[in-house]
Amino acid sequence: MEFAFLLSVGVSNGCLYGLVGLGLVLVYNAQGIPNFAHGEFFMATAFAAYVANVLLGIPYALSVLIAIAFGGALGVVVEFLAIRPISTNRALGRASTEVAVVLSTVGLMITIKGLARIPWGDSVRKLPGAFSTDTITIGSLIISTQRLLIIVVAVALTVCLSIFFARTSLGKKMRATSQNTTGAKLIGINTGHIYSATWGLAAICGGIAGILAAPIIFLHPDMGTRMLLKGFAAACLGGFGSVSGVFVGGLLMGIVEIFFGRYLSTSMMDIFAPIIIIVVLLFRPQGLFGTRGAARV
Amino acid sequence: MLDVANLEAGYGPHLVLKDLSMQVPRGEIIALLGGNGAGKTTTLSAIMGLIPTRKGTVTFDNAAIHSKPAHRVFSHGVALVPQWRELFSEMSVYEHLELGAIQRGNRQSLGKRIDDVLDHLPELRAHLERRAGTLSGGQQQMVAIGRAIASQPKLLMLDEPSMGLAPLIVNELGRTIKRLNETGTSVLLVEQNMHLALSVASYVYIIRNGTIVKHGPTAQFHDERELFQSYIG
Ligand SMILES: Nc1ncnc2c1ncn2[C@@H]1O[C@H](COP(=O)(O)OP(=O)(O)OP(=O)(O)O)[C@@H](O)[C@H]1O
Ligand SMILES: [Mg+2]
Repeated sequence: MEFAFLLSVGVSNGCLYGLVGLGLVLVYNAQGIPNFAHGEFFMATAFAAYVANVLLGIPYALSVLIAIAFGGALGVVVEFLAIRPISTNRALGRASTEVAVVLSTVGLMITIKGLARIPWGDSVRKLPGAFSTDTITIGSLIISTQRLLIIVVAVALTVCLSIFFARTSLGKKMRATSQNTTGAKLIGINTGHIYSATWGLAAICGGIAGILAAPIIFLHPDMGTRMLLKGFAAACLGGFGSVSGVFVGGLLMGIVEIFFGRYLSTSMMDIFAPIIIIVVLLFRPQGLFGTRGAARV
Repeated sequence: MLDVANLEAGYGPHLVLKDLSMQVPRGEIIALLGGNGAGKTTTLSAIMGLIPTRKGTVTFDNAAIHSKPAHRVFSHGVALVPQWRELFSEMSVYEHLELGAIQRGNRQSLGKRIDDVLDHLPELRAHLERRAGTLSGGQQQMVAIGRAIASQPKLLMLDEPSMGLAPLIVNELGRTIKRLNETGTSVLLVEQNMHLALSVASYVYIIRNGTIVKHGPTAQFHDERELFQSYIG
């Protein structure tokens, strides 16, 4: 019984990691940027939902939509203001451009988190979940409704995104741009628009994870940074490759982490993600499922 | 139709093209020949808007295009088959043609337009579902050409399309270029392969050290082949 309970926690955590990792993979594949500010989309969107729902009293579903729109817009604005001016600056050499862009995302991480501390300080807040009943019983397993929702939403989103990239014209243009930017420009794709869309979509993935996670992990300006590491671990396990690869990477991460924590030591849980990142990068940089240099989003 | 006047362009502080002028009249096949590092690719990149121009003008169908980014130049009806092909290695041949077609072109159905492309490049029909990265060099060149012509460009620019291809395939390529031209596409062909260029082009420009050193009707170059080979070599 404990096993089933732990499994449900591990799977739902893993789904969150997968969603966060997905946003990292989208930006990485499009522009080669490890986005250290990605966790802040997770945090800012969760706080936006809190403001709308708790402070302004807007109905929950509408609050969620507003927050997601806010998160997506934040992603687009951040790319436009803090990434694009650097990455298109021809005065910098190629290598220094890459370093500058990565440093810019680190700066953004610190800045956004710092800005969040001004209104929110260091105290912990709670965003209500989507349902009024907290748990449901399946057989003899008691599972939280919020965790169930996380699993359902993450699976649905992963499926939708896979279809989006395989079938829609915007999805194909995004794949094309990530595989060869020059080739994309040559067939009339405005790669600037594609980058905006990529950052918006990535921020939305992170933001949805934030709204889903907030009822469980509480709201705090630091909540995104911890999640960022888990997302990176999921993305590494998935090989920064396909949408479903990251999702499975997240699941593995969530499940192994919870059993590790339960049967070895809880203090290990927080260093588990960085350990995975390092081990994967050392021994299997293409991820668990990838072949070297193949299969991108 | 394409008029390049006194063009200057380069990379960072490094100036490559100096005072380069050339024209491509509507309906013609024009060849731009030159040796390694002469500035052929740079010329096409500057026309296409992949690199900024510093001086001079590029006019296409009476519109100034020299300060426009590549995707805007493309929408005027200019397509480039780049020297390094720049394919999307994980995407299928069909997706390449589809992506080439959706951004520009007439209102016929996508299927019909892709079918037209395949009439020009029939070898691709057998490989539509294969990923571009798994194709041979010759097949990849066909995909790059297919992707470009799927947009129904008015001007097709090809950068050393014969590079790395077997002689038989080069001959086939020459025929393909001629057939495309007969259906109304003007062509600017960059080559080091003098034989291919002279067999299809009506007018030839020779570029050296980033500027045009010689130009004239193809017949003139047939007579003085050795002399011009020396310009290129
Ligand atoms: N990305 C770049 N950055 C800096 N210099 C470049 C770049 N690309 C080309 N060059 C330089 O510009 C000059 C012209 O190069 P370009 O590629 O236009 O020649 P090319 O005629 O196309 O030669 P090839 O037949 O080898 O393709 C060369 O001196 C080359 O070293
Ligand atoms: Mg070249």
